[in-house]
Parts: sequence; C-alpha cells; structure tokens
Amino acid sequence: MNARAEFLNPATRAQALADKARWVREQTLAIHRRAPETRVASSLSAVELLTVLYYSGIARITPEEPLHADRDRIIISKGHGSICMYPILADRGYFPLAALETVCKPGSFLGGIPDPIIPGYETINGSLGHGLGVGSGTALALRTKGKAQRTFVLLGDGELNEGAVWEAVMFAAHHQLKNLIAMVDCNGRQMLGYTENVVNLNPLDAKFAAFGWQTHTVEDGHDVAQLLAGFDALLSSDSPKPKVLIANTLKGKGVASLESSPLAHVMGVGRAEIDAILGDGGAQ
Amino acid sequence: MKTTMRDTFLATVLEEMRASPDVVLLSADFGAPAIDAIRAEFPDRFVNVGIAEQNLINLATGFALEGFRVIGYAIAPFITMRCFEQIRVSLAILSQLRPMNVTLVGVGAGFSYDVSGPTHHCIEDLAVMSALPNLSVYSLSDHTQAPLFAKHCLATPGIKYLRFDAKPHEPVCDAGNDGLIERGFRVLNAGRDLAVVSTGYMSHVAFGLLPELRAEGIDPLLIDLVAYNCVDTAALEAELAHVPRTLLLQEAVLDRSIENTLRRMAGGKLEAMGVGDRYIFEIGARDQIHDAAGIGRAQVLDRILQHHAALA
Repeated sequence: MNARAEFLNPATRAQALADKARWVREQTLAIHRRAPETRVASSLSAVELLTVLYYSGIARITPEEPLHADRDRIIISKGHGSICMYPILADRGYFPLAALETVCKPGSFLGGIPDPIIPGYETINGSLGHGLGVGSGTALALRTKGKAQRTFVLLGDGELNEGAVWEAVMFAAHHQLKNLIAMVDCNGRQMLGYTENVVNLNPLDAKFAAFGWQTHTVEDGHDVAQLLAGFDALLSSDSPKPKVLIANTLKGKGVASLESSPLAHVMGVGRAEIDAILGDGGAQ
Repeated sequence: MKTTMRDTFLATVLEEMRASPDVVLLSADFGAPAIDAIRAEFPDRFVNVGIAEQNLINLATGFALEGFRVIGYAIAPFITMRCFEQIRVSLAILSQLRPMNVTLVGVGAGFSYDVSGPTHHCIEDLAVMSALPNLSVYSLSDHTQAPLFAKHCLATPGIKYLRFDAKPHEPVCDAGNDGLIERGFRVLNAGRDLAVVSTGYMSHVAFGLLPELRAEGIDPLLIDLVAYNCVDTAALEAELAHVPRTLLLQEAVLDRSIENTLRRMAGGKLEAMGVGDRYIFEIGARDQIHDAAGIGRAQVLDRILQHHAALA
C-alpha cells in the first residue's frame, strides 16, 4: 500500500531500499547524538529489516490513519531497540520529520522507549516477551473476523529468553496462524554479552521449525536483496504455518565501537564518533 | 439452592455470545459444565489457550485490540499472579491509550480450594490487582451477583477482574442486589451499633453471625463490599456515618502499606501524597514526571502549607 515507485520497480528497488536504509541509519545516529539516553546499538541492527518492511510494499501501512482497519498490524516487541522506527515513521508520514528533533525532550511524544502515544506503534513495548503473544491474539482475532490483514512482530534474539515467547510460539503453530509473521533481529548480543554465551538459542531456525513454524533465515540481515527474497519466500507460501524470518544482523551496525563490543547493548556513541560517521550531514 | 458463581456467570456469557458476535471466551485449560456448552456452540469464539496464563493475557490483548469483548477464565491465583506482568503491561498500561474491554475471571477466591494448599489459596490477589491503575476489582459474594457483573463488565469498556468463589453456595441472604452495580456494595443488615464491611465468602460468615450478635444485643450494619477498589466512596461513607466503629473482614491479606499503617497511627490526621491512579506517558526529566504524577516539588510544598494551615 502506497509504496513509492522506486521501491517497487525491480530495476531500482534494491538500490533505493539500500539508500533509504543508509538515511535511516544516519537519522538514528543523529537522534542518538541529540538524545544519548536512547538505546542505539539494538536500534541499528534492525534498520534494513524495518526499512524493507515499511518501504517495499510488503506491509500494508496507513500513515494517514494509523489505526485504519485495513492496515497490517506491526508490533515492535523489542521496543527499546527500535529508535530507527522514528525516522521511518516520520518519513512515511505518520508524523512530521521535525518531531525527530524532539526525541526525549520535555513535551515530546517521542521517548527513549516508544509507546503507542506515537502514531504507528500498536502496543506497549518496553517490557520484553509480550509482542508475539499479543500478535497471536490479533492474528487469530483477524482470522475469526474473516479479515485478510496480517500481523508482523519484530523480536530480538535476546528477547527469546523470555518463556512467554515460547507459549506464543506453540499457540500460533497449533492454531496455524499463517497470517502471523515473526521477524527475529538476530544481532547476537544482549545486555551482558553474546547471546550464545548467555542462553544459547542455536540452531534457532531448527527450534522454530520443530515447533511447527515455517522458517527462513537471512544470512546477511543488512542486505536488502536478501531480506526481500526472504519475505517473498515466506509470504508467497501456501503453508498454513506461522512464519518466521530470522535475520542475522550486527548489533551496532555501522559504528565500529559498537560492532566489536559484547556490551554494545548498553553502550552509547559519543558525539565525535557520530560526527565522523555522518560527516557534515551529522552536525544538525 | 446451592450454585457456583461460575455457572450463573457462564450461563449469562452464553446468552451474550448468542446475542453478540464480538464476545470471546479464553480459558487456560480450565473448565466447567457451562464451558462445555459454550465451546460446543461457539468453537470459533472459545479458545482453550492451554496451561499458559501469560499467553492468555497477551492473546486477550490482541483480541481486545481488534474490537472483541474478551473474557479470560482461569484459576484465581494463576490468572492474577502467574501473569501479573502481562496484566500490567498489556492490559493496565495499554488500556490507558487504546480502548479495550477485557474481563478476567479468577475462580478460587481465598481458601475456597481449601485442601489444595497455599498454591491454590488465593489471598494476595485483592492487594496486587488493586495496585494496578486502570483495573477494576470486583469480589463477589454469591452466585446471584455473577450474572449482573457478566452484563456489566461486557457493557463497560476497560479492564476488570472478577474474583469468584470455587464452591457452590446458597445466596448470602434475600437482601437482593438493588443498587449493587451503581454503588459497588449492598447492605445486608441495616443496624447501627457497629459496622462489618465484608467481601466475598466472608459476607456469608458475617451474615451467619447475625443471630449470635443479636443475642448479645448488637444490631450491626452489615455491608457486602463487591467493588473492591472502585466502590462509590461517597455512598459507602454515608452508610458508615451512622455507626461508631467499623470492622473490615476479608479472606485475603490485609493492606500492609505504610500508608495504611500511618493512617491507623495518625487517627485520621494523615495526609498522603503518592502517584495518581494512572500511568505517566509524558516525556521529561524526573521533576517534570513528578509534576505530571502529582508529587512535584511545588505540589508537595502547597500540600504541606495547606496541611499546616488546617492546624490553625
């Protein structure tokens, strides 16, 4: 719904999405420069995933009326790490771009952790492990009403430590919620270190498959062509199973100090480093 | 005749489901004969989510966001405390921003699962559920009230918790339930010597003691409190104005908050300032959030000065 031409034309699509993702990453860093309270590393790993979802026409969005009945439901369960949604939502028309200057400032509606006071957000996010259950509810409710809209849920891999996620994984498979699409931002790190050293989830695709889900793993979750192919493989399927796109990503993608640190989740990025990355465009 | 709250409640829910296609019932693998009738007639609107109360709450949230009126049904300690975080986040907080109609029904109030031990004794639910903003707690005393609250909860947006006894009982008395929905309590005996405010099964106990009390020459005011955290306080205060002392009687832990302790010590001279009954979405520094919550520095100063002026 309302995807612009350059994002739909096969000849220009991948480059246009990559360019847009670069802009989203720069804007996310610029927000973090103004609002160091924001969790930046986990917001940078899902940039391409969310850019593809919101710009390529995969998700039906209705920025002019965010809660329009015809929209696909997009639940951002890893709420802390979704500051990159702010430039995406603003650019797609949910609210003015100028609002990006106000993040975490008194009176703003854009806080350190997004809530549904922000147009485009469906649920409360700051607490992990709830989104897939709520999304299973919206998916089953939509099916019960005979509606075609789908529910997308963005999860972090660290979030999969939460047991309630797996209650939903089992439920969605049992009820064959084929209109439910989970997306795991598999950035490999949680607060205190590498996910595989905290509670090892590997092999994650085999786990979801064993629970009755259709899986697709994107080896490079920063490659928009791979992401497009992954969504296409899942969404064109006739399988009655719920679907999961597992995107292998890099926490803090684009910032050397974050990319290399096991503790990136709690790290900020200094102004000088952001300025060096952004060049002249960052001094805003 | 002896009947359970759940049977009269679910019979009314079945009628409502027949009348309205937007009512759904989610159970955490917890049944009743009336459930069998509902799931046979409405297989698409009855969902057994399995032994998974956390997921039940999140599923209820999803259904409610899509415009369904949802009833969640499970054993009382598990549908309140097993999934308290889900209730807090997905229902109490989210319902402040998005319209939702969810009624949680917990069966097994107090010690009604008597021989099952502490895991099934539900004595903390009134305290913890009452602590949540945007959530109304109703502690019913008999099965005649359950159909009234089935209709009331389905007709009223928001998040509700209904606390049901697990055992079949006779009605507490023949006082009827006039005004119960509006006021949140009913008068079982209109004496004036002292008041007993009871809730749930303890209203049976209080009313049952009436002969002994009268034999002692005491004619009590007996109040059956149902709207546990949302009673019409003016109406209740007006009733209690006629009696010199009041005894609270509940099959649940008492409020151990320091506010309650100080209130007892201060004998009516306590002013309490705390966070209001809503979540704060306003963005700002801590001082600004305090202002929004009603505990800002200037607000505290004003209150202290008012408190002091009242001494004069």
